Amino acid sequence: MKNKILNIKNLSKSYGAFKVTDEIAIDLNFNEIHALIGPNGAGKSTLIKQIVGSVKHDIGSIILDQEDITDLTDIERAKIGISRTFQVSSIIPKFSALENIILSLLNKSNNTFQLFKSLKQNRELHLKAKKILRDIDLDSKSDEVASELSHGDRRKLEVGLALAMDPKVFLFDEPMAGLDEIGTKMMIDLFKKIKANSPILLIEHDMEAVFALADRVSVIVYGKIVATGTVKEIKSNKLVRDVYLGYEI
Amino acid sequence: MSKLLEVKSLKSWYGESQALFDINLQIEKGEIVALLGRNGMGKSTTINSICGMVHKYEGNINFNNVSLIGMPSYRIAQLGIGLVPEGRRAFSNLTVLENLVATAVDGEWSLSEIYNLFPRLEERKFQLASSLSGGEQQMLVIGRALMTNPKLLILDEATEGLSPTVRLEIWKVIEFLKTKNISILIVDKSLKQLLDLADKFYIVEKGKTVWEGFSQNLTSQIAQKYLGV
Repeated sequence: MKNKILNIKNLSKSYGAFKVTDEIAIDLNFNEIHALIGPNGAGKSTLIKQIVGSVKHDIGSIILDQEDITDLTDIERAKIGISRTFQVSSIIPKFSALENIILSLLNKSNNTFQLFKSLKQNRELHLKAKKILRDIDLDSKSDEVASELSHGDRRKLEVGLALAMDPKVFLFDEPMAGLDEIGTKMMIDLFKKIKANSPILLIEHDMEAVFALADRVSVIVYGKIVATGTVKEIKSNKLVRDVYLGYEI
Repeated sequence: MSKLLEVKSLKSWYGESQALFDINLQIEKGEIVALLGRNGMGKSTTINSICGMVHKYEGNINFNNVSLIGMPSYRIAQLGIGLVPEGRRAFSNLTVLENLVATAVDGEWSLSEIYNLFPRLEERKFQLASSLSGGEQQMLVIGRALMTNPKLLILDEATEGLSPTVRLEIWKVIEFLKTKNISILIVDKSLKQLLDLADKFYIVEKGKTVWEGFSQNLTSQIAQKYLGV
């Protein structure tokens, strides 16, 4: 399928008798935000781990931009264009916000050791990193040590690390968690901008954000996709309301 | 009502960088107090300071007429402050039951009370905490804090990262705790729920308490000015 950047077929993973993901089929079109929602423990984060390759699936296939990446390692998948954020932060706590972004940029270009070059030699890199910090509204805190950033600011930095990888697709795992209203609005605007270049598979519990962003929504329950549709279709789906949305929507 | 916690002119530092400049707040017995503010303004640092997890600070923190200044975290917990920290932080290598009893103190809240509140914890009592879903872990951490039979319960973003149905469940539990007259200091971004629940509000900005008042005084202009809502 030429319009699909990511195509996942029949992906399953079991721990003993417990099926964490059960014959998952989900795809991501170019220029699209596809949200994946579901109860806590439904298998969303495990699915992300299977896509990035940090959890080996039992069966199924993953096609990225018409290339079968099923047998690639997590590092190889990251290099060819899959970038993720984490529920729990993966930043380096003793590095500044700027240094964290630079390290991610260097990682993309396979030049990690350049981090220790002088600012002058790394000028282009610094400019790129500064732009990313502006995009995520952290430019005023570029020199702050990451461990001293607030929880919300660390979430923004996580997204910055993913942006620095300039990937073919983004996999965002609860990027709005811990963000205040202004941070959430900033992130929504940012995602709308970046999806044109790199489509997004978005896991998020903030339904206002999901409904504002998603072109399509899939719902996963007990490791199975139980519904896929537009925001309107998902909002009116009785099963989805019962198992996930409740009646606050 | 009588004074339970009083924070006066609190300043705190992480290493050389000052995070809090002038925090003032007061909680009466049986009161629910909401601490509001944008990301990075000092809400969690205020909580960490109260719980003895910030090591450089000035000012006064009095709990039940005892100064908490310089006191280690475990002593503060023993005095009756139960914390539900941001990011859950259940003891992942312990079972649900072990998590609940590890720091328990005799009092009104016992295992059966917690299991009544969160039946799913009883169903999973022999499972490792790490095997629980995010929602179940949050229930566990609230249960663990209640099992210390705290005089003051602190909830730091207790509904964050939860599915809508679990979030509703947690809000119902907090409403129930209100009926039990438990004193609560709560940080949460769901202003709508807090407006229905909290008795008093404090807003922090750049490490200072900049506004305090009741829900009827928390106008949309104030919310817009300080919270961007």
